[in-house]
Amino acid sequence: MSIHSKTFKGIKVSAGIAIGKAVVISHTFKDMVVRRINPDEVEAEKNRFISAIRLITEQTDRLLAGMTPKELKKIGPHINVQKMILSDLRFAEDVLNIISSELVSSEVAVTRSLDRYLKQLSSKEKSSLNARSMDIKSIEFLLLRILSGKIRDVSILSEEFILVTHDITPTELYYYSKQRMIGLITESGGRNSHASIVARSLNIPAVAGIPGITQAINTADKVILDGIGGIVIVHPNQKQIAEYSEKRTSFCLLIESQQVNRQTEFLSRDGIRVSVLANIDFPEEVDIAKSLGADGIGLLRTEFYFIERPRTPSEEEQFKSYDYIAEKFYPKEVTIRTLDVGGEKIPGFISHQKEENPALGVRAIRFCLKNKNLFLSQIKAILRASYRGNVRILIPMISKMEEIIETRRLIEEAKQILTDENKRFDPNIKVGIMLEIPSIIFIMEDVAKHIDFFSLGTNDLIQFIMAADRGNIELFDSASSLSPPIIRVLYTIIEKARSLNKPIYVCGEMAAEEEDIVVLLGMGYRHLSMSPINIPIFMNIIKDIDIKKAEGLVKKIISFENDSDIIREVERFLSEKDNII
Amino acid sequence: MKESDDSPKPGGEERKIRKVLTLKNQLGLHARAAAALVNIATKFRSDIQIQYNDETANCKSIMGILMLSAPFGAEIEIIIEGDDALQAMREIESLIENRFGEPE
Repeated sequence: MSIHSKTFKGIKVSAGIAIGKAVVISHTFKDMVVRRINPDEVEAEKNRFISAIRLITEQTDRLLAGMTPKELKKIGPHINVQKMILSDLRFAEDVLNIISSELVSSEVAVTRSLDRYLKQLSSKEKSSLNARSMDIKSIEFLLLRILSGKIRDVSILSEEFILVTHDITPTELYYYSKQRMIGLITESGGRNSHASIVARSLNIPAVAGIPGITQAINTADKVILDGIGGIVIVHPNQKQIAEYSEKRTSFCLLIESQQVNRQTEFLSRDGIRVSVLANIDFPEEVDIAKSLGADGIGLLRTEFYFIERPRTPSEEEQFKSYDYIAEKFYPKEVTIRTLDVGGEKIPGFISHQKEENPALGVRAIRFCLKNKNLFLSQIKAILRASYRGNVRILIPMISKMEEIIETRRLIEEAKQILTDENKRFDPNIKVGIMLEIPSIIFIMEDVAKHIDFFSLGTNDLIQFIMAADRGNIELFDSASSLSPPIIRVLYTIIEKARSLNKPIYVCGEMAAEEEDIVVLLGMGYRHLSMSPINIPIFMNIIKDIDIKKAEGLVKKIISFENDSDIIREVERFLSEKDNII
Repeated sequence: MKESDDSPKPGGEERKIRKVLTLKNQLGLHARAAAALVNIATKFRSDIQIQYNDETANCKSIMGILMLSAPFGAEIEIIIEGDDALQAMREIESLIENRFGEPE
């Protein structure tokens, strides 16, 4: 008897196709038992921890015993490391001590103990996502999942798998990617949740925003995940498997051919040059971005330098990392965006007032201007990495002139300090702002006097203009990029930037959708920054686009009154383009 | 450098030997390398310590070794005390010299 295949549509988060076995983790970390215990519970709690360790060790041994020599060679060492950490007396004693002296549950004790180790490590390492920290972090996931009864058998993680979960932290995702995870499906999260960003960074195909998917799929079910189309198929039939295997192959070939050719000149069909840059979050992504043909870094997000870390990074740590990226890409440009989160996510900053609406609260530049020491150390680190002349500063969430003036003043202050400290930097470093809060559009002329370039953050801009959360599936239609108000705003912006003679970069994920690309190019946008993995896809699209014709398309749709007319016209344009080839 | 008191006592069972070695593998003392070191160390009865940057760790504890964070090119000192110290040093030295089996 065959089970019928079932198709789910979600949000495309990270390009690529995965076909494989599902591993479902149906609960979130938030359900974890975090509690204090009574003195008379100490013994029982200690035993619970010891049993968990014993269970994992036994399963690990069974797993290792059942492996072929080839498997053993490939993943044996990694599993051995886990086993060794688990049987490390220093660690076990640590946890048992915390249980009895601090009177907390095993889960809390495990986290506290490992946090101390991680803290000690992070004081010595460049990146929080280094291999040593990850091996330790991986123990935490295993122990916590086992203690909470969410995973009963760790061996499922030793074969290739597609993870199906409610939500996932970036660090846990990173850990699974080092195991044999080949795809990610989440119930919650949108294109720009932190886990989604990390999935793209790690080139893991991912689809998000499918409520109920952890119930619809069982562990060991066969699943197709299409991160390009945002589709998940459970129990696929032979025909579907064949079709997607072929898609997967052609996608891989596309990526490989780009890695071989390393094309960095992207020309449209009518020979117009478009510059394509990469959005990255970690220094580890530099090589893949380069190999896929990025003409520089259009956006280095720095949030992961601060969040999910035991403490804020020093100026020196930041400098080393920024400098590494700047050197790798020299002489191409590297644009570093200053911190774009609020204090609630950064260690050492306790927000005294709970914000009812954090997205519209004290975050990004607002947070930085209230915490000038933190901001100044980041600016200094960026300036120090700029001495070769290829680094630029980008300020997020600017909503009014005063913020720009104050930021410029701080940059000058940082330059003065560095001069006094005898440290080199680029005195003419270019400073740009994100165009994402609508207020700025009305004062672009005034703002332009104080900055060197604009970066268009399409995700936030659309979200703020439409007052619609793009991560909310119910509001998909309300937050479409192909709607009359958005089209007209984007057109106004490029016209203004042109007359002000300021370069403008598109940094949102709009630079990755065929329909959006045609419209952006037709309006005159020529600098697009996207996730590295999308560069080969873009390359494939742009070579077939006739920009002169796209200009005609824009002239036409700019006066359309509703979404569906615009979408129909753009689709018609693209299908005609296909016919020409 | 003066002869240290730690030099092997002629004819004695108990010996303490120490040797400075340079990490030649690209990743330094990362987890798998540390695990290989623990695997060797636990085979011996001797007390085996590893020192780097004024920190000392027990070679039989992977956490201790990881916490040293010794990178590529680091000069580490191995200190072994016990009746099978010589053989232990020989094996540890060969592990490090062979870059923990990693490619160059």
